[in-house]
Amino acid sequence: MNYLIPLMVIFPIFAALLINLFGKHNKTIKILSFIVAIILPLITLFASYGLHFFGGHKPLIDTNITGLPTYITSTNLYSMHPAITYSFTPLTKVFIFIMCIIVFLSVFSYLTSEKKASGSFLFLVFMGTAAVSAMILSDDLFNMYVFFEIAALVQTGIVIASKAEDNYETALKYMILGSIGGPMLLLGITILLAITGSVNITDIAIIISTVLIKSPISKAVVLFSFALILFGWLYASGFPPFHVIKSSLYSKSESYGSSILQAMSLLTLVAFLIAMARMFYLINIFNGAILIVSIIAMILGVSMAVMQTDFRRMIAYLSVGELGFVGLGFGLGTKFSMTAGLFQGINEMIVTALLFLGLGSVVYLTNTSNIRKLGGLISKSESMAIMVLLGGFAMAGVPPFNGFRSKFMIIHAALLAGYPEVAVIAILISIATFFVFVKALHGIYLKPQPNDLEFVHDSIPKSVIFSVAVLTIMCLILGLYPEIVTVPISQALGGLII
Amino acid sequence: MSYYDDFLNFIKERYSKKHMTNENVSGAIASELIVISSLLITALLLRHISVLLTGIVIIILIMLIVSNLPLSIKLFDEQDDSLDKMMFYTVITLGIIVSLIYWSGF
Repeated sequence: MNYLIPLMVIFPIFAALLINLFGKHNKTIKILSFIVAIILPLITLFASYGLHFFGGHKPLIDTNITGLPTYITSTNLYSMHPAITYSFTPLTKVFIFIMCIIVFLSVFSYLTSEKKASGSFLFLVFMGTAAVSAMILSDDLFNMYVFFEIAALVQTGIVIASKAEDNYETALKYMILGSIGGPMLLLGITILLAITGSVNITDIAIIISTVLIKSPISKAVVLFSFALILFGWLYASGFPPFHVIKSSLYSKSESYGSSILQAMSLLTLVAFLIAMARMFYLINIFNGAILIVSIIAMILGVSMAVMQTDFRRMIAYLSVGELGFVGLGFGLGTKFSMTAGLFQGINEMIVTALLFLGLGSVVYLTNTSNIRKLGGLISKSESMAIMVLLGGFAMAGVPPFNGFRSKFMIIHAALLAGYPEVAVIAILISIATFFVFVKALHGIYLKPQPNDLEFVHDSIPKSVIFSVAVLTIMCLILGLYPEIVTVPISQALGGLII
Repeated sequence: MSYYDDFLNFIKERYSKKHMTNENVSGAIASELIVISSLLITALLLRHISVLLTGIVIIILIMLIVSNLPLSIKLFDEQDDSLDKMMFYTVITLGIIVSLIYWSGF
């Protein structure tokens, strides 16, 4: 039993509650948050791979109990999971570790940039980290749903805690749309519980593949459940039709909050995508449905990003569009393509955090994100402009950065799987992403500075430059040595799905 | 008159009261090209189901695209922050997903 596995969820929850308790003591919460943000990635780093059964309730097959009647030992009851199970694999380790690094860098930038730290904001950040870590660790569908709802509330809270205009309205709209997406997801899960008698993903996957898929009547129920869970997944990850509200959510938050929000959305996407792939991979339209949804997300996300004049909204739409590449990997349905999709997910998380933090410094300096009102900012911070440019290259898939590696893998996987159309669309979207960055960088840094542009701060905090530099280095390292993450992802996928 | 002039006039009519720059026009035309090319290439995926169906869908798609140009501006208008529009598309998507998956899964 590895007690560090549940600690990845329990520790940030406990820290969040403690920080909220000392909310009015500025210095105390700053020190506490900094320590917690350092400890979080360390827990992930030192935890051993394995399973954790809450309450110690293992499946009967794994216990030493003898003399059980045959109606238990000869049926699925013998191998079913009676308790909530957390599974810590190389794949979950990579995702949670990168998430924790982004949380650390965002919190560090926040603590050093703001004179007075908000206890509520930090509470939400750590609670959100716990929620998404639980989602990706959990092998229990209902446990995932509970943390999914907590994550949705946390995302709303982070937007409300920001100082952006109309943030309350956006948060309320997200909650209203969540009142459709969330219950549909829950309905899909309860249907699965009703027909399988379990909420454990491994149990459900076994029952569906061995029994339910073979009968037309039970297959119809499984299909209906898949449709509802797919719809809930669209809401959780911000795929169309929820891309508008998700991008609005990112753009109405502070840059520190946005970088964490997008990482939370990505982990939610990956957690539910893997769960769906494990349960429904035998359904003939699973891959097609994921493929089409992902392509629509890519087209709408990038085409909307191209037309924006607010750079925060631009990045927000791009991040939604780029998420489509992750889905594309799963839609193609091969082990290589799924590895490529998940690798793209990790890259997307790092690059988008870099861009939100890097371009957030523009808002910090000028208090505006409208490209029309900006210009000539390269004179304020050359290093930041160069790092944002490199981040843009990474997202667009320019060598030698990480985005190039993962997108190249996806295009290669599409050609190997016999879908050259998908490869062409992926290339088109990458070109459009590059176009968006050329437009944004010219508008913000290179065109002549408008006479009426006023500065609210003289320089960018060094902590933000440090955070963006760390993320840029990570992009470069993963571009040069992709096997650091592709090998563990591929190994974990082999045991999970194929 | 070329398509580009048509496109420019459409944007001018739509945004005449607002501040319009080269960035708006270049962004809109880039978006237009992405949407048209991606839609047509995506339709080609139907060849895995039926080549005949692919041909029919592409012809219908071309007719729809030509009769509804420019698409990017209309898409942009439809995807604003209005809660009504978001709710409408959410409910429509739910209906499409459930119906398509339920009926095409057998």
